[in-house]
Amino acid sequence: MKTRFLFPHSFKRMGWIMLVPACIVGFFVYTLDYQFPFLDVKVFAVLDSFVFSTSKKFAMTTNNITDELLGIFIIVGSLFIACSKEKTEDEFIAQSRLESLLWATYINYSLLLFAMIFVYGMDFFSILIFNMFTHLLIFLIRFNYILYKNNKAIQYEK
Amino acid sequence: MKNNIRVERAIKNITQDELAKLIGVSRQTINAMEANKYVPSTVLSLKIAKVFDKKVEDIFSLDEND
Repeated sequence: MKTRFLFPHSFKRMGWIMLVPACIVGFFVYTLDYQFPFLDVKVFAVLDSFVFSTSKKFAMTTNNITDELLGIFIIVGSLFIACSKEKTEDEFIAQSRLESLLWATYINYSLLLFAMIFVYGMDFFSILIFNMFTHLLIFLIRFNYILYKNNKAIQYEK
Repeated sequence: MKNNIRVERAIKNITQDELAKLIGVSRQTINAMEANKYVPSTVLSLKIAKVFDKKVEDIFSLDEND
């Protein structure tokens, strides 16, 4: 069966190379609330507003892009891993992938609903930030676990 | 759905790996089908039947849950 909308298998490695360092750096940047000073740059903003200042539209603004870069690396990295073909891509793997995606959607939104009801203030804001990435990350864990389990199952067969 | 891929494979004396290569899927897929954990598509069923030189109905049959 032809699986459409998937990247070539080689994108998987590239995805891991982007995702793992970005997660590690991201963890420290988040916990230490750090920004790399050399990443203060002028950027083009479609929208830009703060609580006590006038909002800008379609204007240049200055911003530290540490978090933007990390976010892009994590999202693009996860997408490359999640949406690239396996070495031997076939319909069974395609089905496992879709089932894992459904599973991850349920888990991710259950967690978000839980947070929506029981977490308030800035903590909820932090959870919203993490929630941008958790859907794909939960999917990756689930899908790779299924692949691992299938691999384990064939070791006892001839 | 039940199948007798494992039996047919034994008659033809080929491994899961060899069958997988013949029909262009992973070995995990063959194993999952033999364990009745995966119902193959029509295309894949026809390919399997072709390898064993049999009709699809000779290899796959409905079970009480279908």
